[in-house]
Amino acid sequence: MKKHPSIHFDRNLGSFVGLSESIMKELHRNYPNVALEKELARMTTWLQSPKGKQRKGTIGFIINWLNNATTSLPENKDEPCEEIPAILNPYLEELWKQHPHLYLFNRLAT
Amino acid sequence: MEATSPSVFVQPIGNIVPVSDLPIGYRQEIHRGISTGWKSLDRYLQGLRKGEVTVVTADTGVGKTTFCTHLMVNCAMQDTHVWINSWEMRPEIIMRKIASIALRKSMKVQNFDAKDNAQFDEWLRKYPIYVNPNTIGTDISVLAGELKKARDQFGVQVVMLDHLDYLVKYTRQQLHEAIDETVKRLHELAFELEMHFVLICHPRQTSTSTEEVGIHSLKGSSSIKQYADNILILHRCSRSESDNESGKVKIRVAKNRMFGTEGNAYLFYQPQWDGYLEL
Repeated sequence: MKKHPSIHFDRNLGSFVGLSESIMKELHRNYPNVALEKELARMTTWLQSPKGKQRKGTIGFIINWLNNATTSLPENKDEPCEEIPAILNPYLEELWKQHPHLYLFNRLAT
Repeated sequence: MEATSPSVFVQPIGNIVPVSDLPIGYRQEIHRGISTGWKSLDRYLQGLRKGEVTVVTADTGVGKTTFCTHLMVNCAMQDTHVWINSWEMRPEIIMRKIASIALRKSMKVQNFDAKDNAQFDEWLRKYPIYVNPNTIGTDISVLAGELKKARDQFGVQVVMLDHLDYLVKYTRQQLHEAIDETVKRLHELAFELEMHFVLICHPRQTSTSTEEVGIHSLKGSSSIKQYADNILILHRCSRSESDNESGKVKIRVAKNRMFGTEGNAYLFYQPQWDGYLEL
C-alpha cells in the first residue's frame, strides 16, 4: 500500500476524506474476505464515540482495523459438503457398533 | 544408477529406522477413534483418535462449552475416562451441565431432589468422568504434569481444555509466539501421552454476531491451523439470515488431518436440558 497522507476522518462531515476509488479498489483487492463498506461504517461509528475521539482515521488506522476484521464476510457458508468416500463406511460401522445406546440417547425424537 | 542391496541399509542408526524394522503390531493396529456420539459428526470426523488435538471454536454465546461438555459425556458413555478442565466455569456449573445432559433435565435451574440424586449417582458410578475444580488458569508445563497423572492414575484418555487463553502466558507483543508455543506443546503432549485433547479456542471478534466464524478467525490462526488435527466450527443457524430453524447448530469440520473429510453436520440444541441432539 502506497502512502496516502491526505486520508483522514473529518469529524464535521462524519466521514472519511481522501478515500479515492483507486484506494478502495486496492483495499478490496487486499482484503477479499472483508465487507469493506460495512467495516468503514463501523469505523465511522467508533471514531465518533468517546473512545475514538482521539484518533485521526488515517490510512494506518484503517489498515489496522481491517487486519483485525478479516472474517467479516461469511466463510464457506454455501460450500457443498464433501461426499464421504464409501471406503469409510465399514470403518464407521465398526466405530458405532460398540455403543448403540448412545445414538438413541442423542437422537431427536421425530 | 547401480542397485544397492537392501541389506546394506537395514541397520537402524539413531533416529533413522528402516520401515521393515517397525513393530509388526503397527500393521494390525488401526487407531479407530472414540465416537463423538453423533453419527452425523462422526461421518466427517470418524471419531476422536488418540494423539490428536481437536480445536473447537465459535462466536461468543453459541455454546462451545456446552457442546464440548456433551461431547465429554458421550465419550464417558463409551467407558472412556474423560477429564474436563474449564477455567472459565465453576465446577458446580460443569457438574450441573453434566447432570442436565445425563438426566435430560435442566439441572441448571433446579435443585436435585432425592430421585435426581439417586439417578445421577448411579450414572456417575457407571461412567468415568473427572473435572478440574480449579478455575484459575494454569500454564502448559504444570498442565503437562497433571495430564500425565490423569493418564497414569485415572486412565484418562480424552481431555477437554476450556480454553486456550487460560494456558497462554503472553504480553501483547508476544501473543502469536505464545499461542504458537502452547498449541505446539499441546500437540506434542497429545502424541506423547496418547491422549485426545478437545481444545476450545476463541475467535477474533467478527463484525456482527450474525456472521459465521471461519478457520481464519481463530486468534493465532496460523499455528492453530497447523497444529490442530481437527477443527470444528460451531454456528447457530438462527443467527444467519438464511436459516431460522430454532436451535439448529451447524458443526463445520474444517480440518481433519487423518481422513481429510470436511463438511457440515447439523445438531439441534435442546434448551430444556442444555445439550444437542441429531436427526
